Amino acid sequence: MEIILNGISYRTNSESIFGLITEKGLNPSTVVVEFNGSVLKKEFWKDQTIAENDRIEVLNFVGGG
Amino acid sequence: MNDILKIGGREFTNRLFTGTGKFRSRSLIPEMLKASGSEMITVALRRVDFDAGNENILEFIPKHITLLPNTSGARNCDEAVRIARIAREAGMGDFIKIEIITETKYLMPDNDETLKATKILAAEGFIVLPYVMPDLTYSYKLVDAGAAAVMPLGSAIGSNRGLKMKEIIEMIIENIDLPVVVDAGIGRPSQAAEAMELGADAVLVNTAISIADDPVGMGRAFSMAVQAGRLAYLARMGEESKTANASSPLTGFLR
Amino acid sequence: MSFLHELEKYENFDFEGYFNSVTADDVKKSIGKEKPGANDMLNLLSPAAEEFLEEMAKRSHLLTMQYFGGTISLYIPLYISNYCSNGCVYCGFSAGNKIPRKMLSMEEIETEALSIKKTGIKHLLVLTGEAEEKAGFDYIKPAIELLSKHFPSISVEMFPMSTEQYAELKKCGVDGLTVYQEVNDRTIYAQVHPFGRKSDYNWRLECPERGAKAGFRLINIGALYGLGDVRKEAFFNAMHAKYLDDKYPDTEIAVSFPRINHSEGNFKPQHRLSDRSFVQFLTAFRIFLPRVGLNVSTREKADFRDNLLPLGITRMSAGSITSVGGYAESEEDDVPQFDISDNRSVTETISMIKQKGYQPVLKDWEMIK
Repeated sequence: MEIILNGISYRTNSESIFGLITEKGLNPSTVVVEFNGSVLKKEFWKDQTIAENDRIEVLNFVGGG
Repeated sequence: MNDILKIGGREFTNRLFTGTGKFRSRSLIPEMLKASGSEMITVALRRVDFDAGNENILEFIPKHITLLPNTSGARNCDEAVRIARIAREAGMGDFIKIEIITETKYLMPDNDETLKATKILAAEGFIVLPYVMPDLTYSYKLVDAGAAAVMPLGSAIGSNRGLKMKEIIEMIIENIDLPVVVDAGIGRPSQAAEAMELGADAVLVNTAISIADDPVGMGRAFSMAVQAGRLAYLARMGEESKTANASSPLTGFLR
Repeated sequence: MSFLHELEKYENFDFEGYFNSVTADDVKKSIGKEKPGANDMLNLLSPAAEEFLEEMAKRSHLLTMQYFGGTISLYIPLYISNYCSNGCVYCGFSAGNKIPRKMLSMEEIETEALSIKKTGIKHLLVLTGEAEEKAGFDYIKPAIELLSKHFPSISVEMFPMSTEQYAELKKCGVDGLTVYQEVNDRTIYAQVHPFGRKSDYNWRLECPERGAKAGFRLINIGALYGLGDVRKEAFFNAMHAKYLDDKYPDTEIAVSFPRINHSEGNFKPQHRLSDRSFVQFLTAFRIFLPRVGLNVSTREKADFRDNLLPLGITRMSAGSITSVGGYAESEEDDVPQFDISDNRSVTETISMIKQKGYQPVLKDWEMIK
């Protein structure tokens, strides 16, 4: 299925947010997920299923002044 | 000495705020924090770059340090508000530095959009520290909007030009009942000391520390300069004496 | 928050002890300070500062030239009613005094306005006694509406009103408020204001702030010297001016230094403000509050007023008559609120100001409606 991941279309087989994060090889404790415009807390990642055209932003904290 | 700075219910004994940007190696950050004694540090939020390894900046910041996420990258009020909400949801706490920049030549903050975002976020319970172009009338508006501090720029970001806005910042310090944190443009410890002598409540220094040959040593130098400036302010420096020269006596009629 | 809270901070302060501990060196430092604080004001008001009047005058002169140039704003008072329900023991209009009471009709007010207009002064101060039931808001409002046709700038000195009432007067053409606390010391305040609405200390103390909130351009406060300890009174008044100046940056604050003179009640003041202390306090105010207007009325003698010009004064009344309706025609039995010591006409006052090298300002602004 095709989703929009960080602004770019992306094909994934993962069915949940948690799956997607693992698929991308990310450490869940270091990233924040915005799901269709609102922040999705980590406790819901396993339950949140992904559908066609969902907009998902994966963010993390970086250095900045 | 019992000289405490309170912002948003939090107490700070060290008046140097630092940033996490542009360090050669992130492992320098905890060392810099230790050497300087800084108790608040800024972080930024970005999209994950899936092709690069993602280090977590938070791992390098000791737990007792207050995190000040900024909204850098935001070009208007809505984007800043969105970033602030994400940061809070991510467990960063309520502190937020609003930084909205549309002008790319000198990276001047957009005061109008910043005021709008301050109003919205303060109403949502954020502890809002807006980074702004110094202006007194505008600062009164920030007070009304619910800002927790005012962060006027000393000069353009990263310019190291020091307190070019000194006169206006002084007006803000004298008239606004909020902590004033001089942010941006401070390139040398002597400039940080100057801001503190004026009566600034704190200074935020990032680049000048992170790009120094020895960021740890520079962090310590800034911290000492900030302390010296603060002590001088509290000790009330002697005034340069002013002598007026009226030619004839003004009070002769009384005798 | 109001000025009440500021006052409370000094409730247990040992003024006498502090004033007597001030040294010559303290005074010298305070005179030269670029940003004097409350302690500096205390130093400048202290007995030790009496030895530095010339230095204070020079500094005050310099600051006044720097902030105001050589301008002196002129205003003229118009008493439209002397009915009063207060018992102020020092005042000629006091309710207990058996004097002829008068309240000008709208026609009489217009006649007065036309007489005053001839002098060229555009800033009018409209005064009444404080009798809300007799000459209340419903009398004052049409009077102001009438006067605003003739004067671009009107201040009122009347019974303290609510913010809403001031806002309504503002719509009718009022842009300034004069209200004196008379005495900041609560005990003395109660003694000299035994009855009437005025015996409510807090209502009066917070009155200037209500005016600022209503959006007046000019708020003029003052202590009536003679009622309480003069140094303390000057200090409280200065702190009040500073409070208003800090909190209402869009409002001009001015301070007056009325001294009790002979009035109908034959009140004998317990305290005195000498000419020397007058000069000391005036210049201290200028050094402490460089941007604040300093006002001297015709209560003061002509030659004394002339000598005060270079010392920091920025506002003066001229050609004043302090009885009701005296400009068009005066009557023998008209009783003034207080005695005038400077009886010169507006024209004479203007030529004196010019002769001294200052610029008399008859009209400072006009609100665009």
